[in-house]
Amino acid sequence: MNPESKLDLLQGTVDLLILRTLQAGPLHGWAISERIQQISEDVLRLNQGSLYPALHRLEHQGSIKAEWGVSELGRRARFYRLTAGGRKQLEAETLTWTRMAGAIGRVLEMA
Amino acid sequence: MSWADFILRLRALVRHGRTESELDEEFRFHMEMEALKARANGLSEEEAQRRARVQFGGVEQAREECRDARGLTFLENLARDLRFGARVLRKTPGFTAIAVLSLAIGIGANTAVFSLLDAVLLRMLPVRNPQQLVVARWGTHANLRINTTWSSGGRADGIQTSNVFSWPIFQQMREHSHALTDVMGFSPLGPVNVAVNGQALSTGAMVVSGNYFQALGVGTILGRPITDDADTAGGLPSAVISYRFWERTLGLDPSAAGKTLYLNGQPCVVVGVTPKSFFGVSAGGFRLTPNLDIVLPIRWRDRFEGAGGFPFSWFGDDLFWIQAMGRLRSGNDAAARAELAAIVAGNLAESNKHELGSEAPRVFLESGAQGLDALRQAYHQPLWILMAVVGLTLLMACANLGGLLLARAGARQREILLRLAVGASRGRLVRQLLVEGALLSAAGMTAGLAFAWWGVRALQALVASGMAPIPIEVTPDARILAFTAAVSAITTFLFGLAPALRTTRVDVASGLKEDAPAAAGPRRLAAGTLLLAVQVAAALVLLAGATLFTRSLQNLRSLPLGFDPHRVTLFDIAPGKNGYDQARGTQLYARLWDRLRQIRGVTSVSLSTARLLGGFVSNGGILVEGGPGTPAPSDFNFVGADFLKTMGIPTVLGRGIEARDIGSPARVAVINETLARTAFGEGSPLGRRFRFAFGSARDIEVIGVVKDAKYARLREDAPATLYVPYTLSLWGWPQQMTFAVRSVAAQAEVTAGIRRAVADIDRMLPVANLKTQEAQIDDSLAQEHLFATLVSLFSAITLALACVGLYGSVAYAVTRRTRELGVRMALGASRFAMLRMLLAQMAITVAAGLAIGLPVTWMLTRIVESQLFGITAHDPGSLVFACAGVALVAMIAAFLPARRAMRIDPVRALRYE
Repeated sequence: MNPESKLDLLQGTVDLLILRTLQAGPLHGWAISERIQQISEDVLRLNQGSLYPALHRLEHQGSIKAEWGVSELGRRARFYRLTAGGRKQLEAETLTWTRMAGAIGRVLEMA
Repeated sequence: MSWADFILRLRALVRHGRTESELDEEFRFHMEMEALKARANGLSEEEAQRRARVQFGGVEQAREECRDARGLTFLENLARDLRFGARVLRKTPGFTAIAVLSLAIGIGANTAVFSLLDAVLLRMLPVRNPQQLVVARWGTHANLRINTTWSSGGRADGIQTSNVFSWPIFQQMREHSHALTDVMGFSPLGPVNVAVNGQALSTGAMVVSGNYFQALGVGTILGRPITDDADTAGGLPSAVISYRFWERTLGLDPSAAGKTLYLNGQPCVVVGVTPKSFFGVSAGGFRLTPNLDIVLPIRWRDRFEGAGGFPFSWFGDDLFWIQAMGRLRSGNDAAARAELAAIVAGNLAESNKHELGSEAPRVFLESGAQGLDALRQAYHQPLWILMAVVGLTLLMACANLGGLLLARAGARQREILLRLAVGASRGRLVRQLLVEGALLSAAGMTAGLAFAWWGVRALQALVASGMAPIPIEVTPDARILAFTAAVSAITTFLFGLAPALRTTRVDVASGLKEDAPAAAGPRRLAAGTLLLAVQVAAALVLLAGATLFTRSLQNLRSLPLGFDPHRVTLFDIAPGKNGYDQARGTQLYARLWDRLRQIRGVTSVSLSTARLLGGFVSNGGILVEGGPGTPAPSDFNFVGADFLKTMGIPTVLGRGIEARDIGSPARVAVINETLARTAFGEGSPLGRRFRFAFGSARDIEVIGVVKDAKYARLREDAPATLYVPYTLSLWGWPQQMTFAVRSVAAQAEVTAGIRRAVADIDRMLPVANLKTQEAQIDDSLAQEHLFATLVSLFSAITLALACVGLYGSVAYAVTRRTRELGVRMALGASRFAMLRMLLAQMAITVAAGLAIGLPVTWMLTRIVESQLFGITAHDPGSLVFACAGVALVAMIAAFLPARRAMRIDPVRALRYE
């Protein structure tokens, strides 16, 4: 639990991470942030102040859909699910990201 | 945005609170899970809670960001725009007040005048399918000798036409026409004496054919309509009364049906009351019958003739008196005309058929959808001129607002650029500006409607004061509201969108640089200057119009009358209609003359067949003894004792007509100077004799000569006039007379005294047209007065608006150019030089306005030339006055704010930006 180790995420990448996390199936907000943290081995931590606005923005855009469900512990929670549009967006953004990461990587290696 | 979408958004807005609470629940869940995790990692309950909260960060901030991310709904945006717009408008109360006021005046005046115009000129009769109604006229090339009662002539295809038919022709048209159905006939009775419910009054009546109400599709709100040509109730003629009459005489008594009223002394029975909105086929009545209050069955026509008898049979083929209207269903009016022409030809009197020879009479059909034309003709030109004037005022108000908004858009440029720079979309900004415009125009429209409501009443009172009163219901109705809304919407568009687009078109980067205000420079300034020039032009047109109308009215008012109109009260009585014969009638006049002289304060009383400046006159020729054998033309007035004294017409020679001359075997007369000169030549006419060129062949002796005085019309020179005792009237005894009462008492006392005196002598005899001689003159000038008043009013408003525009524009220029002016001053320009510079720019604008306005004025005043008296439409003095007036007032308006430029402190001005 070291807040200093948290990386500042580039604008737009939060959306990508959320979409990717939801690819496996519907999750509630807390689970999304936990999943990202776990998979990134604590490197990426989503601040709630950016997680929830991002979720609401994606919902407004129609990339994800929210509905109330019951959590694993029997509590009422809001679950987010990828829509068809979101899936397409994820594909496109993943492609862009890989291309960019590759490009940056090459520049870093070669220059 | 689809309807369903709109509903969804509306629901989202309504459910706003629930979404917020959902957000809270979501946050709470997140923190609980966080705390759970912390506890699982071995922290105490308390510590876990705290950590979760810290971890989460600012709840309020997150909530706010979510709200933003979710995006505002259209309605939330609109609400926000409205709130913001209202705040902006409240921040500049002066601007807002002027803008709303301009709009209110423009919209209000337009609505008021349009309401009146619509009611008089455009609205259709409140009957079934009014568009099918046609009015029939007929005519021949041959000049037929036919007898008609009141009729209206006209010309069509070189034929003199008439709108009246004989009873047999009407009957045939009603029964045998196929192309024209529901043929109904009607004929005005002229003013009638009515006694009802203990009061006597004079009003208008007409007779109608039995199918009239059924054919028009008009029912009664009380009782029943007339259903038969000889409709009868209890053996007496049935009468249907108007709502207005029901209200005035019977106080809306629900048991009015069955009441007896006396019409010209003849009893009739009220059988029904027509709806409030129905004023018959002619809303304004007929020329001599302005208020149609009573409708009677046509077959009873001969009963209401009054004394004196009538030399024709109403139902024979030699009298033309029935106006006909019908429904043209097919629209094939050629067939209908041919059919009717054949009916006319076949039912003329033998003598007329003989005169006609081989010629076939022609029939014409005119639209009757809006009723008959009396009112429309009378008000046609004045109302359209008025509409043009207020239209100009609206144009002016819009130009003014456009200018104001343009100037303000300039002043707000920085704010708008800033908002663009931080990412506001252009559409959003345009919408914001449009919402402001819409707010202004909504406020203007509300104020304008209130103004219109008041304006309609004021206008109606003003218009009705003189000419025939307008009996039409004028209220701003739905159509007029639509009209106002359209005017308002167009106004919003005109002044809201144009500046909005212009402002948002500017380039953000260059706009935000130091010299920002100049960035959108030349075009915006050109548009602003043009708007100001248009305002100056409109002000010039209206001021020139106002000057012309006012001077024309002054010319009319300052005309020498030749008599003294002050303190004289006039009223009419018509005993002949109530069946008085010559003996009783003459006795009545004498008694009333005596009785009136006893009223306190009365100094002189007289009576005459024609009131002065009443528009009516009788005339003919006289043959002077020892003169030429040809008759000398003269106007006649048959008068009672003291007429010349009562009217204040000075005697030059001899004496006036006195009591001893009335009914005296000594036949005497008084002439005016013009008649003395034209008919009697040199030498004193006193003692000389003459006779009428027709009628009575006995000699009349001249006993006095008086000064010339105006007679029928103010605009005409005093005619050659002959004053003869009414007992010597050419046309038998006068069945109606105008009394003139000169009194030093208060007007209310005089009026009450007159009414009492007449009622004391005969309760059934109504006092009609009671008014002072001065009011009688005012009435004859009513239209001129109306024009002068309204055009002056609107020109003052327009000029004031133009001044506000100029003032605002200069004040804005001074603010905008403070730095430049400071630099100039620092470089040594004198304060006066700067004042001159600012004023010179305004002078160019004003000059441009005058240059636009002058030719327009030149063209428009020609149109109103027929309404002017003693002044030409291009009177140089008036035009110069109007130009000078506009220029002077405009320059004062520009000078006041320009003075501020002189007080600019260069040091502070340079530090300013």
